Amino acid sequence: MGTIYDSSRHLLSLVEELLESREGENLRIDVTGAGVGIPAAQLDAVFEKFTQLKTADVVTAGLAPQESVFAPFLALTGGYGLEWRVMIQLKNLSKTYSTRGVEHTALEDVSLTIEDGDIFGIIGISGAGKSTLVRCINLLEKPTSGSVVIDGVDVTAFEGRQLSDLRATIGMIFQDFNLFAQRTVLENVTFPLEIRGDDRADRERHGMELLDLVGLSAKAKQYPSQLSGGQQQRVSIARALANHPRVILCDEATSALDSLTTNSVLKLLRQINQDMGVTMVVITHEIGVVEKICNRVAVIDGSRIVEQGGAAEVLQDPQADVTRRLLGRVRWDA
Amino acid sequence: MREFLAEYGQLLIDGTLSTLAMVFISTALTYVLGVPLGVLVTVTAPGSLKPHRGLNAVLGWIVNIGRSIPFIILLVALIPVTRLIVGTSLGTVGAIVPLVVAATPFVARMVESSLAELGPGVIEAALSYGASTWQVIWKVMLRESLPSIMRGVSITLITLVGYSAMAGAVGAGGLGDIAIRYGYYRYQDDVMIATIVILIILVQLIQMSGDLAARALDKRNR
Repeated sequence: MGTIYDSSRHLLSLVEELLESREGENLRIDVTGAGVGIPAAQLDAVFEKFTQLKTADVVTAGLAPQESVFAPFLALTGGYGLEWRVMIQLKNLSKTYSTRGVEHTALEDVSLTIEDGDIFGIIGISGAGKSTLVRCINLLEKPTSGSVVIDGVDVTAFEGRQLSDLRATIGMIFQDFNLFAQRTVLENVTFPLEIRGDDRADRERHGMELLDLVGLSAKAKQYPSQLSGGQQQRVSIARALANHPRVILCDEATSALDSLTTNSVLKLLRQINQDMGVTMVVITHEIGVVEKICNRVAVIDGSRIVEQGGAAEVLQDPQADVTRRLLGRVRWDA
Repeated sequence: MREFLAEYGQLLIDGTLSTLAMVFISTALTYVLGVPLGVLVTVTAPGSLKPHRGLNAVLGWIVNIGRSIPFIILLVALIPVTRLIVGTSLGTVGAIVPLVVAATPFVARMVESSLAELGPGVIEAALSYGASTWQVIWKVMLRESLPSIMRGVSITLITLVGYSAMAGAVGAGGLGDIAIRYGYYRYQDDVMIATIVILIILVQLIQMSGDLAARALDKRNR
C-alpha cells in the first residue's frame, strides 16, 4: 500500500503516472486540497482519470466531501475514507474598524483554505490587510463577520480559556521579533511553557533543545539586546515552536533583515516545515519570500483576495494587476 | 563644630531617622496602592487589554483630583481621616496617611507612563502564545517595565522627602520639623543649614542608589 501525498497541481500527471506504473496496487492517495489551483475545465479530466483508479483509497481532506472540488468524483465512486486535512479555513471573513463613526474596511469577504503542511504565502502591499488577516487566524483580531475554522473546529467565537488554549497551539513570529528585553534568550523561548505552567526544569530542557535546533544554544543566558537581528528572529522562531504548534504564523518575519539573513531564516522555516510538518502562514510584501519557500499563495489587495493558487503558477502567470506589479512585470514608474 | 554637634547631634539624628521612616514606609505603601491603580488605568484604556471606558474615566478623574489638591491642604483636610485610621494625626505615624494619599495618584501616573513605554508588540506576542490577561500584566507588562518603574521609585522617594518636610510643619516631626522650629522660629541658621545639608545628602544618595538599581535591573543595551 503506497501513500502518496500531493497537494499540488500536478495531479493529473500524477494520476496518469499511477495508472501506468502501479496498476492494481492498493493505493492510498491523499488529495488534500488538490485541485484548488486547477482551473475547473481541467478538473473534469482529473476526475475522469481518478475513476479509473478503482483500487485506490482516496483521502480528500479538510473540506467536507460535498464541499470539495472532488465532490463529483466522490459521488461517482461512493467515496472512501475521508480525513480532515485542512488546517485553516477562513470563510467569508470581513473586518471593519470604526473610529469615531468612520468605517474602515480591513478585510472584505476573504475565503482561504490552508492545508496541513502548507507554506502558504499571503502577499500584498502595505495596507492591503495582510496583518489583519493573519491576526484573524489566532483571533488577535475578531472578524466582524465570517468564520475561522482551525483543524476542523470553528473557533470564531472562542473566548477566555478556550481561546488561550487555541492560541497556544499556534505559534507566531513578528517583523520586530517582539522578544522580551528583560528576559534571557532561554527565558524568552520558554515563555509559552511558563504560562502553561510547566515546571522550570522541564521547560529549560525543552528550551535548550529548541535553541539547539535554531543554532543558538550558546546564547541561552544572554539577553536579546546582545544578539543580531537574525539571531533574535531565530530565538523568536524557537519560542514559536515551544508549544509544539500545528501552525506558525509569520508576520513579515524577514522584512527587518538583510537579504543574507533573510535567506538563512527562510531556510530555517522551510526546514521546520519539512521536518516537523508545521503548517506555515507567511505574510509578506516581498515576492522573493513566496518564490523561495511558499507552495501556495494568495494575493491580497484592497482588503480582498484578488488571486490565489499554487505559488509556481501564480508567479509564472500572474493574473491580477497587483501581482504583476509585485513581480516587477510592470515598469516601476508606470 | 563640636559644641554644635553635642547640642544638636542627637536631635538631627532622630530627625533624619524619622524622616527616613516616614519616607520609606510611605513610599512602600504608596506602591502597594499606586501600582495596581496605574495598571488598572492602563489596561482599561481604549484599545488596551480590557478596555472599559467608564472605569477608565472615573479612575482618571480620581487620579487627577488627587494630584490637583495642594499637599499642604491635603495634610490639614485629612487630619480626621488620619485619626480614624492610625489613631493620631501627629508624629511620624500621623504623617504617613497624608503622604500616601498625596503620592498614590502621582505614582499611578508614573507607573502608567512606565507601562506605556512598552510597545504593543510584546503584549501581542504574549497574547499570541495564549497568555491570560493576568499573565500579560504580571509576566510581561510589569516585568518588562521594572527598570522604568524602579526609576520612578527614586523620584517618589525624593518627592516624599520634600513632602515630609512640609508635613513637619503640622507636627509630623523629622527634619522639616527641626528646620521650622529651630531654623525658622528661633533664627538658628546653623541648625537650618545642617538640616538642609542632610536633606541634600539624602536626596543624592537616593538618586544614586536608584540609578544603580535601575541600571542593574535593565537588561537592554548591554
